Amino acid sequence: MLSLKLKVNKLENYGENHKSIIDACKKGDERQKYRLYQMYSKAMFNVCYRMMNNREEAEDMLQEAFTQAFLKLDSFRYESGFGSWLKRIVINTCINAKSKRKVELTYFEEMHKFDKPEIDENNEEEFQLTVAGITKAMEKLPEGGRIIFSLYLLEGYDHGEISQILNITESTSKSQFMRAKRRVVEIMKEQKTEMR
Amino acid sequence: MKNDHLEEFIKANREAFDMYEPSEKVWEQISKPKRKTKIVTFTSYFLRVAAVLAVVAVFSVVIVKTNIFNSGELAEQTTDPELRELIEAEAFYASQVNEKMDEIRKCYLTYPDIKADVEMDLNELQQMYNVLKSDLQENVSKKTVIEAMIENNRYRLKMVDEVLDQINC
Repeated sequence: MLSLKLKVNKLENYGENHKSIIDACKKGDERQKYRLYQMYSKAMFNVCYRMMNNREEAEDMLQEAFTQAFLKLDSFRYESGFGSWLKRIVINTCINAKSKRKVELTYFEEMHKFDKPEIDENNEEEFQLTVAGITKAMEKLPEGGRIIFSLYLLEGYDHGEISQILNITESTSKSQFMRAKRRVVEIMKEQKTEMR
Repeated sequence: MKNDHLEEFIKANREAFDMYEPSEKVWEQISKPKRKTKIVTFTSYFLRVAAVLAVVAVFSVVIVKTNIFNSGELAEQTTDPELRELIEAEAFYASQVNEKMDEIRKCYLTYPDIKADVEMDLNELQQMYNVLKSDLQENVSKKTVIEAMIENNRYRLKMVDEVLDQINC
């Protein structure tokens, strides 16, 4: 969580310069809007990508979210960091697009008592953790589980916030997160076996 | 435990997970349509105003043409004293006749043979009344038509009164 906070601080720490860019954008300065877009587009695009699991849809969401953000920029009053304000718009845009499709998010089945025991610790060093491997494994998770996994570990939300965003209970968020984590490890092990 | 290693690894390598770049067309789309949107809102504003005016115009024509409000409630607003009299008379006689017809209908069980006669006579009077009504709309000698209409109403009341007297149930 520390590195995430550092990153957020880094993003927010544009100080007065950052504020003057946002102020100029509020007045409709197109060049400054582009500057703001350049600052945040990559991070926000990756949020979209993890939410939608599809490049084309992620680009649509990025476009929609930035358009929305510029439209309601006047309501941004520096009470929170601009990055977290924007990220919330991005995530809401993605969730709204998903709910418009009227297809419920798929989660892991809840099995509580019959859950498998924790990952066998003896096999711990059997495979190497890599960013690419984790990303690939995440893409194979059920949609709801994947979104909770990335909202918690990569976007820095806690289970209380996730439960509000996805309109689920906090305990569902927690249990889905545990299952997602376990499944990511399983998939990575399978991938390693396939490669042998 | 592996799970915790996973969390730690992700946190430590957080930035590496932002590996994708959006294509340039995204910004083109964000910056392009704004002027268009303005034009659309501008024209759609006028379109909306025009639509509202059109609806109001159509409704006023329909109301004027069909005389939809030309009933008892608006009798007070009718300026023509003759028409006003007719509307009031119509309402008065209709309520009287209906009241008496309710009583007559109760007697249908005791005197089943009067039903056909009474209903037939009333229908006939109603048909005559309808003819007079259409005459009135065509403006044929307004005063005579209105008199005939009131007479028709009076006759209807007289008829039901007589029926009631005769059956006495």
